[in-house]
Amino acid sequence: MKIRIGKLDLDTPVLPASGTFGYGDELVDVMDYRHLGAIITKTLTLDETKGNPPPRVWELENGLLNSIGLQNIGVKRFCKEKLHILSRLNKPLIVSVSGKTTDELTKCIEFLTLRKEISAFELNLSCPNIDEKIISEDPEMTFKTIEKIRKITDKTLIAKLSPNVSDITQTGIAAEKAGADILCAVNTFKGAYFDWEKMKFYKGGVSGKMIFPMALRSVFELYKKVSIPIIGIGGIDSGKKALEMILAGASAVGIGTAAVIFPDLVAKICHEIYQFMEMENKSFISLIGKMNEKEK
Amino acid sequence: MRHIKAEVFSKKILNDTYVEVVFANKFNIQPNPGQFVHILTKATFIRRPFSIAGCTDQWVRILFKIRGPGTKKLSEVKKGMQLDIIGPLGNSFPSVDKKAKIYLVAGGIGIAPILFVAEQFVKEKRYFKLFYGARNHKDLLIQFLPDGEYIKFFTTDDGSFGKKGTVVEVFEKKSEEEKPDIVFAAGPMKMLEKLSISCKQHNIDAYISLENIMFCGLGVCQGCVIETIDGYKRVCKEGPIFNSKKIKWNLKN
Repeated sequence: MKIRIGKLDLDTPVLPASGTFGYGDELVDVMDYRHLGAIITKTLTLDETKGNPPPRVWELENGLLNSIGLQNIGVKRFCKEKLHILSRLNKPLIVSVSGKTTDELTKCIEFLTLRKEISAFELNLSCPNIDEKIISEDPEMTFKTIEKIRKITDKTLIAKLSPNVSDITQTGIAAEKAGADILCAVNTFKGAYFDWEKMKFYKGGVSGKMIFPMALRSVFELYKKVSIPIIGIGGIDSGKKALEMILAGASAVGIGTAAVIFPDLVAKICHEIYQFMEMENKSFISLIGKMNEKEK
Repeated sequence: MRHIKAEVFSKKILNDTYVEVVFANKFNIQPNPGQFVHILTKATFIRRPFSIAGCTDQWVRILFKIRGPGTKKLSEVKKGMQLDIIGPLGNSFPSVDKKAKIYLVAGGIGIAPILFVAEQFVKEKRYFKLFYGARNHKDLLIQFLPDGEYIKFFTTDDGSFGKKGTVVEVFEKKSEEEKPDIVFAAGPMKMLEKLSISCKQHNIDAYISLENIMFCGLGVCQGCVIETIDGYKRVCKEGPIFNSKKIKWNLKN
């Protein structure tokens, strides 16, 4: 099931999803890392970020609403405290980065790109919890931002796309044109929760089982329009759903919320993909987009 | 910590709304008092955290109150069934000097982690006092208290057992007579807040077990933070046991 996407050589097409995997090393006791294609960090910002005041998570019927606000230790402390541990895991290391401004994001990448332990950057241009305009909701801003970042790093660039747009292929195409190597679809959906005890509304991003059909649709549409690989993320909680993403056009899948609830899920999904390949007598690569068609 | 499938050894429904579940100890390390387990309920989307109320090499005990669909479903487990559990998680009550005077304070189902501490203290022949309050006689799970030579004070809101009033009031009165060196407590947030204020006034170190809505329980999602004087801290990782002086109470965490 090995696959190469961008300049990344993945042992398996199953990845953790940023934000549900800490800095990358915290789950070694409960998860079998051998089944992971790569390690991905939570989103880092240039300076340490305090995050949003609690409460930060709300349970939904088949999902989760969160408003963490990108709490993280910042790129400098990350390099000092975490990088040496992560490099020992012997997996491609994807670092998720964000910034309040393009300038801040650029500085992040300039700082991190010097580190050979890092294989790729996931550009979190769609974090809905920062009260500024969201880059990945606008094709032009997406293009300009990625174009700028492309000039300062040779590492694999993954553009994480926001699903909170009317047509995700617009931002996807913009990201590809600007030089992104991989697309990652999708980030969390904008959602709200009403707390009846406190009589108060909370806003956040929705993840988990309930977003799967929309995430699948996003990957299905994107595959038709772009030629770079896609990482499909959003509500995958079984091998079957992972395969649906792959058949729609994902070259790899990300497991977030469900992998936190079921730490053994990543191994199960790998096993089920493998079983399907055996049963169909197909290589992994031949399954990608098999039930979909490119438009050009 | 480890992700285990553990066989249920026994389940008892106590006083209609409290439940005791004992399951096989398949953890790789022995849990310490104050730590918790994260259990898949099969009725809720995310797991539910439970304080460990006692354990041996063979088994682990949890005690909980039926509150919603998750705890309801867990109250229906039967002997021989498998539970999907991650644990032991979080930090534990600090180790204290052998000669220290320790007061344990529990409110309601907060007795769970306190029982685990009390059992250990009895084994170690330590000097300690237990203050245990609940709404009424039915809500006091006295049958679980370990036998030993320690002093117990009971309170109920309605006076149906022990002294009528709150456990913090009795604790305060006894603390004035004989000041403890350290306090370990668990219970509702309001009780812990009052206790913390009292301990601060009398310059007593108090370590309290906090609860919060928790997603991962593993320290990766940053969802369960509370505000402390050192910034946001994860209840699941830096906690659940906190020095009460560090908590910013006025912000209603």
